[in-house]
Amino acid sequence: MDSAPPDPGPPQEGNFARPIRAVAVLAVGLAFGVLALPALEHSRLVAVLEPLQRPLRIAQSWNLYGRGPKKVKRFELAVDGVVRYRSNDPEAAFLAPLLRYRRIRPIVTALCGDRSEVRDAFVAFVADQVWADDPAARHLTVRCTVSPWPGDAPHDATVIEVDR
Amino acid sequence: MTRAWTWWVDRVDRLEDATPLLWVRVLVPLAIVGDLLAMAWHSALRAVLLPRELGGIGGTPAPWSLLDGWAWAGPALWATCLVAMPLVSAGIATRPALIVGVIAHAQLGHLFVPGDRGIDRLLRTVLLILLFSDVTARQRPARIRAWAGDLLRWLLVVVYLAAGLAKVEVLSSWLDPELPELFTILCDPLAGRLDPAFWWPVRSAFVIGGAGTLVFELGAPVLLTRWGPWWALFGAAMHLGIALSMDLGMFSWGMLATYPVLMARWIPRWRGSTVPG
Repeated sequence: MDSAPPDPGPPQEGNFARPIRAVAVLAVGLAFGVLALPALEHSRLVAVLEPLQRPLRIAQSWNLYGRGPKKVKRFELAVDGVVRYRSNDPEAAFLAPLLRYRRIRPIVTALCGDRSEVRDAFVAFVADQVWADDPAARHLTVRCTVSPWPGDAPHDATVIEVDR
Repeated sequence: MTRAWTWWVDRVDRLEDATPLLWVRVLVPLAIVGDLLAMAWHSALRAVLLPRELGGIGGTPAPWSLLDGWAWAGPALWATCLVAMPLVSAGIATRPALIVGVIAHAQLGHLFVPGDRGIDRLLRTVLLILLFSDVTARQRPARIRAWAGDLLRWLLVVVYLAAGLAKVEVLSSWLDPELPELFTILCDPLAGRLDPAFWWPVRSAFVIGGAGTLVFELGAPVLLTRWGPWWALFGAAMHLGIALSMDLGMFSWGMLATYPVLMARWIPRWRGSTVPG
């Protein structure tokens, strides 16, 4: 009668593999905990471990939306005075898929917080898209508005004017 | 001390069903592939991958970027990840593909720093755990050493617990019916999909969701117990809610790709196996 071959299990190893693996797992597990705990953020141990994470960008600090924005911020693009894009506005959705894409959205958010390191390059890129879309366009206004909740009293917070 | 050490060594090397970790090995690279394809879907390839002189956004690469002097580094890294990750999922040349894929994905992050988010860091960490586990070995047994699944479960507990502890610092605002934090997060026009004006009259109800989030995150150690799969259902519901109410791209799907290890106690039962979970 045929029978399934026995499962060989993990491959056989030398005598030192088990304790080495146990030490490694313990060390990595502790490192995860130390690196992630907010209370240890400024500790010396974190200062030692943190650079080890940089080559592969595996930094372990997790603040998954610890708090939301205190005010309503919206990003706008106005071409020759006409609003073509406004955050989360289906009536003004030019470039929305791009601007909402997860790798681009942080740039928009940072720009509205006046802390974007690629602000000028991003504005230039957006301007290129506007000019390519509308050859007759002459002026682009990149704007961030701020309002108290629920967002019905916006005023300009950041305004960047670009001419073709 | 010796007894504790012996216990630890035995625990690290105890055997468990390979299926949950195999599912993670399949799903995590697929989540990354989906994210890379979404870059094309959202017309963001040029913006993210190319330098300013070729029409991209560009910016300053991180110090560990090895290819920033090459204008086509972004597309090359993107293509490399798209080739390597499916190989990892399929179990073909798994470890070499994993090494290449993780390095290429990290280099993509070094090249375009604003676009490399927490979920990218987490999934690279998961892939590194898998690299050294039995599910990427050439011989793939049905039962594997449990340390990798344990470490992955621990990582997820740490992630959620750290997120919960960060919220504790502003606990009163999470439970404030006048302006709950969850309301401001989901109705933030920059990232959320909900209309703040529409939901404003019932904003107090968001305190319930916020409290639920806090309970789940601070209770994350339950994921390590026999009730872990039930707690994971709680987490899965949270991530699905995030996917529906926010534009965070891969975040929810990447997290859910790791959930098979949280369901490990149930998975052999689903398969009808007699191997204990």
